[in-house]
Amino acid sequence: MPKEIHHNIKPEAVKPETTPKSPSETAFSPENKQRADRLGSSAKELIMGVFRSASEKIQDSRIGAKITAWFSGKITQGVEQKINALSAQKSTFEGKSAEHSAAPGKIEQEYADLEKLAKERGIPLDPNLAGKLNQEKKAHQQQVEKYQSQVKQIDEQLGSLSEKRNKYQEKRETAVGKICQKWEGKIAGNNAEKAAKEGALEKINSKLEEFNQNKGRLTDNIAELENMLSGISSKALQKEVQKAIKTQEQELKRLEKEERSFQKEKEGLEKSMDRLDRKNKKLERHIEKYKPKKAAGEAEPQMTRAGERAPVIRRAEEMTLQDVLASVQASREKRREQREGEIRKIAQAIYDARIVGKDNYSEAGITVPTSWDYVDNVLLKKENLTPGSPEATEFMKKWDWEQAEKIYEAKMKQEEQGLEEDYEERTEAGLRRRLGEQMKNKERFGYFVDQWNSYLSGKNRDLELRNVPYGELDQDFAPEEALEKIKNLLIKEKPQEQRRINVQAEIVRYLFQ
Amino acid sequence: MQQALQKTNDLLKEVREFLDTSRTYLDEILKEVTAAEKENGTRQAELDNEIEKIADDVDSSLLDLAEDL
Repeated sequence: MPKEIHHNIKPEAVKPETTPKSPSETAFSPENKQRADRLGSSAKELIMGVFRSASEKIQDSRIGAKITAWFSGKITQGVEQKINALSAQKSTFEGKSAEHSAAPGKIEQEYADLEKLAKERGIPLDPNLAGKLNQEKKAHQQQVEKYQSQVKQIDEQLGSLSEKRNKYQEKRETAVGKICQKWEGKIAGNNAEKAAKEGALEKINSKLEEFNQNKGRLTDNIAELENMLSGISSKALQKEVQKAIKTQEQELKRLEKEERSFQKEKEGLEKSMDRLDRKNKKLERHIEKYKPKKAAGEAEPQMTRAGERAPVIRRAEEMTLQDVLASVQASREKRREQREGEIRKIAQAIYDARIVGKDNYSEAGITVPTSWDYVDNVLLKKENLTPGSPEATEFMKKWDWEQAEKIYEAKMKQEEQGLEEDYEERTEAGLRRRLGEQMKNKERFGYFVDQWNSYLSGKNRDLELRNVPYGELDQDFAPEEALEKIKNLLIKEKPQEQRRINVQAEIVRYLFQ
Repeated sequence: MQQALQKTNDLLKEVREFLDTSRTYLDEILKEVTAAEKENGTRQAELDNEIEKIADDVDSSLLDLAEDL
């Protein structure tokens, strides 16, 4: 079926009454109700969890990807290239302007020399020569004006481009700072929710203690009555005591049942608090990763309002191209120093292993043989060097460094792979994979998860996901609206699954009633 | 024995009262939790919207800049 047709499916087109169904698939059929009841509240929690988790992950990964893109510098790089090209052009024009400016003076000097020579030797000069030279001077002057005008134009362009670049840099840094503040706000919100839950948990725990006490008292009393029972001879009295025991046993069961409700809520609260912790950790990682870093020597960010930090924003207007180049140069130098420092540490570790004759030194999956036997009889022998000689010492120093370089490169490669994996985790593919893993053990929801995953792969998922009212999921979840939207989105992608989705949707709707 | 039965009745009365109030107590606790969840849910959604707006704003700046190039 062509895709355009799927997109034209109206919500009404998927409603049960317009879709032929087998009896087992009828909306709110007893069978579906039974299935829904079997799934129970855990299904509700799970489905809401899927919505929330998906929306949060998508939101965070999208913002993270955006910030990364803003700082990838491709756009500003283009501006820089243009600024560089214009600056080079400006320099050429200034050079030419200077050449033409100097030309009239030279002409005058040459003419004066010529006039002097002609006078000395009595040679008459062309009477038109002075006029011709004046024309030449004028032409040079015109060239000077032309180049100066071009320099002026370039200056204007450079000014405009620098202004744009600076504005953009400032804007993106301000934006990242603001986003980080919002993330901090989200952490504070989660902490407030967690604090409320901690309070509730404390109350539940104290109540559970009371349940235990009451259960103990009933159990003790039952035991006491049972003991008493053997000493009672009267049948009527025995019956009375047995009745009392039975009543207490019933109450004990009621207590246990009610206690389970508290226990269940306790577990729910603990899980929910763990989730809040995980969310906060993720947000903290985001802030750590993206928050504009404090420039060296700059003061600590000032507190503006309680709990709110002013973002450190470098004054972009003050930055010149030279500043940027100097910063790049400084950063390269720093990287080189870091690299050498790391290699030096590894080389020292290899040396330490070698000097005590350890069999080998291993790091980052590389094993370097360091035994005395290997050094003396393989390495130095190959080089025809005497162990302990100054030449051998120098050779081994270089050898240590070379091995350390290899280990360092391997370490860097591993770290890069780690970063790639981390990036992969933040992509949609990663999200789908994780959702898949998370749901793997929940086979009874397997179909729903598959559909959800296939929905996530849709082209317009971000836009459409925003239209699903999952913001309301926590309390005022509007299942009808949400389900209708999700169902329609799913159907767009997998029209052939329409009826099955309907059944699934009916179950979800029933659960949320 | 009469005393034991009386003690049992008192205990039963106490336990029943405890059971009767425990449900209401749990509902009250959950109500507080629900309110906290709702408040945070709204806050999170608001903050997400604000983040989206900031991001969109920078995106449009980026587009403006790209067009000028």
